Amino acid sequence: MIATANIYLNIQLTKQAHGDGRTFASKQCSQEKAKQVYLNTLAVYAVRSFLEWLNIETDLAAGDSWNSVIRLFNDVADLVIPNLGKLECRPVLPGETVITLPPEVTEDRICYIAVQFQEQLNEVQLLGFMPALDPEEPLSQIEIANLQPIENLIDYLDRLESAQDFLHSDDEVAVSELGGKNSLTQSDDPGNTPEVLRQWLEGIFRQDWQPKEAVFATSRRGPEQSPEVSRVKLIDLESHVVALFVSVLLESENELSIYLRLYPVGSAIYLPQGVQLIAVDDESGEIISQAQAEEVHNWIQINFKGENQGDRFSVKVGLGDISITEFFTI
Amino acid sequence: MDDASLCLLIGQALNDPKRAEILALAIDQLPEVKRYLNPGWQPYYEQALPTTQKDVQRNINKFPQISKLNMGDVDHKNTSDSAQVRKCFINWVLMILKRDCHDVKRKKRPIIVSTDTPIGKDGLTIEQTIDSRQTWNLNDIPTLDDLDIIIAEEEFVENQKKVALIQSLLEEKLSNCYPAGCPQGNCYELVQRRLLRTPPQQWQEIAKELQTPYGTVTAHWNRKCKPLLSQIEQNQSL
Repeated sequence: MIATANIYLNIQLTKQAHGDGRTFASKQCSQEKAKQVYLNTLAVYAVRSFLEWLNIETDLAAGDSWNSVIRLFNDVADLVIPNLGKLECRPVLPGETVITLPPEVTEDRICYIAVQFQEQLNEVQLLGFMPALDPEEPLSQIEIANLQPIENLIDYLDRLESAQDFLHSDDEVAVSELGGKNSLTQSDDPGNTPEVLRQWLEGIFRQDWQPKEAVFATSRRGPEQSPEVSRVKLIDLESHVVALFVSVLLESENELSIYLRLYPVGSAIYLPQGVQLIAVDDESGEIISQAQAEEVHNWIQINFKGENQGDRFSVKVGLGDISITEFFTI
Repeated sequence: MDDASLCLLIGQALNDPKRAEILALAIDQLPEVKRYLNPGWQPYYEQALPTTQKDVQRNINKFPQISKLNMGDVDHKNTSDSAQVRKCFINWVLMILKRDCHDVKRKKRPIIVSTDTPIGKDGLTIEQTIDSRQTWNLNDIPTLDDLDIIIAEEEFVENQKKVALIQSLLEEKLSNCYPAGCPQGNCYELVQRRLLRTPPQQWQEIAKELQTPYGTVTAHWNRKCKPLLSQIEQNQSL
């Protein structure tokens, strides 16, 4: 007789975890809040044990859940992976099939991990995880049935690490340079107002362009320490969502270096095969540069120089019959 | 190797180290292992495999517990049972293999840590982490019901007084700490919006309303405000 087909990773809750849980709980102002804090603490410890087994470093003290004042007011069970971001470790009580996320944990998390408690608190089960997919539409609830297997968490974290490494590297990008003309079917919004890149250098961005941390998790090096300025926008290609990363570097008084990169988001490891990234000179209609993802590309890039203030160009991201165009002014 | 043979071998390996060694060597011959391993891990497979095999050999006795299988009740000739065991075994092996591929990729560790190596400050191994019986006596195990009476009523009253005192200090202690040129983004303002408001305001909204870049607001919160909050709390010995 077989009980289940899935791996339910059992994690023991140590006496130290219970000790901290009790200590944190004993400083709360109600029984309900004390129980919440106790379980949150145990959930964080359980996920930490698993991550340590995966040899992934964590920093307990850096989390909101380890800040005694934040803990008083917020319902937080976060665990920081240095230089990568925060995981939210949500307790699941017996019989629960849905996790309701408090508003304070729906931003700046890289994923949510469901931690199943039973009546006896000597061990828990890690049920799975849910990547934080779209910062524009944060999750408010997670169905347990929709979780991804916990054994795939390392794939997801590795993809985030790779993206981080890339963002902080000066490596040349392996891109598939294409010749010929753009053959994408247009489905663009002609009324799109161009984004003025020189204003980015002054810290002025439109709301829909997010800091890279909002999409790729916490960065090692924020924009304020870097000579380049970057922003990310999620592009919905109906069957896939990808992240368009735009980086601007002032090379001289008039010259801007512009880097455009495309990344997968959410649980995807690779870009959808065939997705194209094309920059077009809006004055002449000529293609400035373009790239296309092959089967196992986890990002692609194009780059070029912009010299004259007021010059316009557009960037098309396309897959099959779908394309989205973003408009820019130097 | 068919399902029944693999299932039988797993059952034998639980009690026989020689069979465990054979099982570990067989991992490389299971087509699903490579097929289900994401392409991103493939370049590290050959280097990671020996470590994975070693771990599987050593820890095969943990496999039934992790997968919630009662191997004593499994009939390897029953196609449903053996298929289920195979699926669980492949999942378990893949989890270990991906961890080892990740290690190879990062080249972080000069010595590859095995599952019997102590981890964390608790000094527990993953074997101990998985096997709860090594730490808890049955009579000592706390329960969910115990949490309903975790704090005495008088402690709540005392805690409420301390929290009220902390709240009274926040404005004075936090108002003057703000990012350069951005006094509207001071720590007290952020505390009001993030901690004292129900529900807490989202960072995106805060950044917009304070006309301060998102990264500036959140970085200031993490680097300056959170340590200040901890200081205030410590001074009040909450």
